[in-house]
Amino acid sequence: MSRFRLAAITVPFLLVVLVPAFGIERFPPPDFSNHAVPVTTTPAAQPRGIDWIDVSVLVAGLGVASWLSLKQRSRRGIFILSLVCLAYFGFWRRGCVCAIGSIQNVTLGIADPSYAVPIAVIAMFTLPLAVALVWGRSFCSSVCPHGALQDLVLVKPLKVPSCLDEILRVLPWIHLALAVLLAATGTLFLTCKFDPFVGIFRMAGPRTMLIAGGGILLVSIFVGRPYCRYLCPYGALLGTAARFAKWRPTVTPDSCTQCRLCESACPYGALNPPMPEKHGLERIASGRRRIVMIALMLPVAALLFGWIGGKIGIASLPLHPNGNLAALILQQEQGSISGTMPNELTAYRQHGTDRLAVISQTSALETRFLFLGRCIGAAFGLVLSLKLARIFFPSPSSDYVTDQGRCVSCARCFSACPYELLRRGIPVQIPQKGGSHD
Amino acid sequence: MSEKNSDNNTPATLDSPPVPGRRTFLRAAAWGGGILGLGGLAGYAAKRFSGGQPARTATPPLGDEFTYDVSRFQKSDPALIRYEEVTRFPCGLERGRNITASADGSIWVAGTGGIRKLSNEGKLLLTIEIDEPVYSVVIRKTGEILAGMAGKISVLDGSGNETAIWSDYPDNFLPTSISLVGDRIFVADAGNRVVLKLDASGNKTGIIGERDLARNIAGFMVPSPYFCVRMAPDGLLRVTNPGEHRIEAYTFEGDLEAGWGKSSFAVEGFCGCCNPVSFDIFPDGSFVTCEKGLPRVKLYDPEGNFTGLVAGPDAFPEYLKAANAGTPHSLGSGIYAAIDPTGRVLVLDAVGGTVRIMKPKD
Amino acid sequence: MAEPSSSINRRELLKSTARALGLLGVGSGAGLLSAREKKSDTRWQINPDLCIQCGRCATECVLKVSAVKCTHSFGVCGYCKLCTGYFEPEPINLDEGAENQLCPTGAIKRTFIEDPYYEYNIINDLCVGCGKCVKGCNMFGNGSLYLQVHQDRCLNCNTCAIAIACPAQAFVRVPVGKPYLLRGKGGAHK
Repeated sequence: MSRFRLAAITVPFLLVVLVPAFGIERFPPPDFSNHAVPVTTTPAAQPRGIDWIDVSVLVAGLGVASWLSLKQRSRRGIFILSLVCLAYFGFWRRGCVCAIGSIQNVTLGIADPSYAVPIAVIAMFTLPLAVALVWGRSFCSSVCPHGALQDLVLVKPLKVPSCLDEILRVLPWIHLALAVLLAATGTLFLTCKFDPFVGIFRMAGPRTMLIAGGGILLVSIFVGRPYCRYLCPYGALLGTAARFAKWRPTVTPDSCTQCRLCESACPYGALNPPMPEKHGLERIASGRRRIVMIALMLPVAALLFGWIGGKIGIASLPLHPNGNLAALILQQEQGSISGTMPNELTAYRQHGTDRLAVISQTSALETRFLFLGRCIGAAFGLVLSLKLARIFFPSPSSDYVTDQGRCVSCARCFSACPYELLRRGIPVQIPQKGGSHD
Repeated sequence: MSEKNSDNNTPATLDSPPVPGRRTFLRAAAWGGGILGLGGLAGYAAKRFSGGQPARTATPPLGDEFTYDVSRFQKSDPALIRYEEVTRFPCGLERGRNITASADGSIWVAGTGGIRKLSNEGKLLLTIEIDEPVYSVVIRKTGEILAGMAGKISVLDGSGNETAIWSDYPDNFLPTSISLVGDRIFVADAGNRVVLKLDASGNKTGIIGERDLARNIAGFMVPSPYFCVRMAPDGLLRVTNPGEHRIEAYTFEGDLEAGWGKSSFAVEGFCGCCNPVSFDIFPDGSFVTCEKGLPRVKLYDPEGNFTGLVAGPDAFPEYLKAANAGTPHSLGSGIYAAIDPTGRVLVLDAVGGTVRIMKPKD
Repeated sequence: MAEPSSSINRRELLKSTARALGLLGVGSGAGLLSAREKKSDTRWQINPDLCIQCGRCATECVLKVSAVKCTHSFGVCGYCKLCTGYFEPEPINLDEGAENQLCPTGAIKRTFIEDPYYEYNIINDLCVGCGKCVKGCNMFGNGSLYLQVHQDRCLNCNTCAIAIACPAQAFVRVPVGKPYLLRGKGGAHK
């Protein structure tokens, strides 16, 4: 939460209230003849240092996950690591602070100079991203407790139709955009408020959160990782970072016979069919079309979504406590509040805050919301155009390969590939090219 | 395991890549974009127009047994109000702590920032800047000003220059009220919960109100720095005993003669845990008292029977009825009353820093 | 196959560059953010001077029993017989009868010290953090009762649900070394 704005309103008032408060130390309690005034005791806070254990476990987990998915190629290893990380990050540390939420802390840290992001949180934000840039989404495979939970309850994965899948994959970017907007303005941490699993980790929470969490978990039994694929904002970032990874999980080191067994083994739709590379003139033409498409779409998308973003920014103003208060003050002055006075107005009247200060703070806030909304909207438009471009101009490959952005390194596809099994010394029948076999 | 090409896209071969059919995709994209857009707009429209304020709360509120409600006491019966407001003006201090009227009719206010002298119309006649808060002020016949501060009493001349400091007092000395009786000075020391009797030069000559069970004096109960002493026309001192909700009568030697007052939220009694915070006495011996918590200025006859209101809680602003307003944590934030030589009642709103002049209704 | 390999090389080069830039950006961003003024290990706390005792502390906490509890500053208390934080506004008798008590869960213990003083203690396990006694004490009394987040129960969520709901914006982040904003002597107020 951004406190410096609050301080700008209340510090002048508090100075008036608290400056004479020093006098309270000169007003003594009664003089008892034989009773000592007790000292107010307060329970101490959790000791420091626990954050560093978290970072160490994170580093170890990322290392082991990368090694397991890229070198050992072991599904069992990933499974065991998922259990360990779910137990530690999920149930022991109660899922907070997590890497997904760290986006908000980092955003607030950038936007508000008075907020110091804890180092452990910075580590939780940057380390999985750094690993994704080099080794792919090892974090998602087994270290993230949310992913681990969904992965572990997956029983019968259904295939999501690709057009629906494409559209749903836009949602994490919308979530990211909103989370960044609300965090940067100091309104609230959206991801935390709507995190479905943290209620399960804490074994406590508002009823709606627990029901939503249970619901998504039920869906996870049949649809692989719905939160990861369609809602997680950090997944969106990791997916983008993983596109530049030097190493990524490959199904088979040998050549692919296109039997498609791996494609059906992947519950997350992260196996891409081969894309023949274009040659010569067709290649140049295709390349030119791609550039033209991006050049046309990008400005249009950026402008359109920038405009929408600005509108959403303004609409989000009442979510901010100051914006909310200003809206209530104006409503009261217009006489449109009926019934009991809202608590926010009671607090405002009791604090004796200057009305003009609240209104002017809010208009400064409005400008900020508008500006940020537009920028974030434009960025969203940019991302959307690049995604579309990738759909129409996919990267070439000769084999079935893991999708760099979507593969979460869960290691399920390895043991589906018959060549992989052969490599491991398990005698199998090699299916014929084209996909027919028994 | 047999593979089915169940999606309507072209099957995978090396010659024709299984890109989703362009038409399919565009149709899907249009649908999807439409749905997303509608959903987003619907969500924000709902938030925008749903009774105005989006709830930042996630759970329903507590039941009635968890609410503290004194609103029924905050309304005053108009039939009881005997006074009306003549005028109101700022007192010139950021926070007031006491008010008094001098014999020439001018109004003196003490508080954080020092002392201010005001005329009946609110014109600032004299400004005395003092760094520490001043808890009480009286004007001697000679024109000298006695300013009570923590640990000492400062003697100032008529223009506000300090001529003497009296500080030979016990620890925790906090003079919240000073009363002049001829040459004698009576100081209500809230810190030590006694009334000190001083001579004309500030030397301590006696203590009134120390706990003395042999004389049936239980002592003053002063839980907060509101402690007031006044001289009554019947020759006895009147001192508040806020913790017991009484005003007690003492001789100059400290004998407890009488007392009145009862604990009650109703208009006849004194509310809360420590009231009245301030009072003054009319020439005929009747009282005007001030309370905090339920800010009320009330009238009592010389025997302590309730006779009416000067101003009830509804005449005072919200912040005086709020929690945190009347606590000594924001020291001296109640209301104080003084009677001016013409019989009008001066009421100081110490938090808002305004003085009201009230005169009897015709 | 010169053409494809050079194009693959170009793509790989672009990818490597992007990767390097990404790593650089992430690393320097992390470094810049970490270099801030060190007050980063914080906990949530209530500023008692802003609190209006709305009751949301008891309902909004993600825990079943709220981590917010009433705290008593004994040095500020007046030890009154008629404690307005303990007794209902119009008690029948000034005794410990449940019908006279303000606290709906009976979490305040009243002990006689000497005439006319009584001591009041909060039983933490019974207190739900509703703030009813706080309101009574602050409106009429010395303000020695006030709500504070108890750090042994608080989970220190990244975003405190009560902080979001607080109508008075009374929640602040405090350093973990001094996680209470107490009133009176020895209290840490800004």
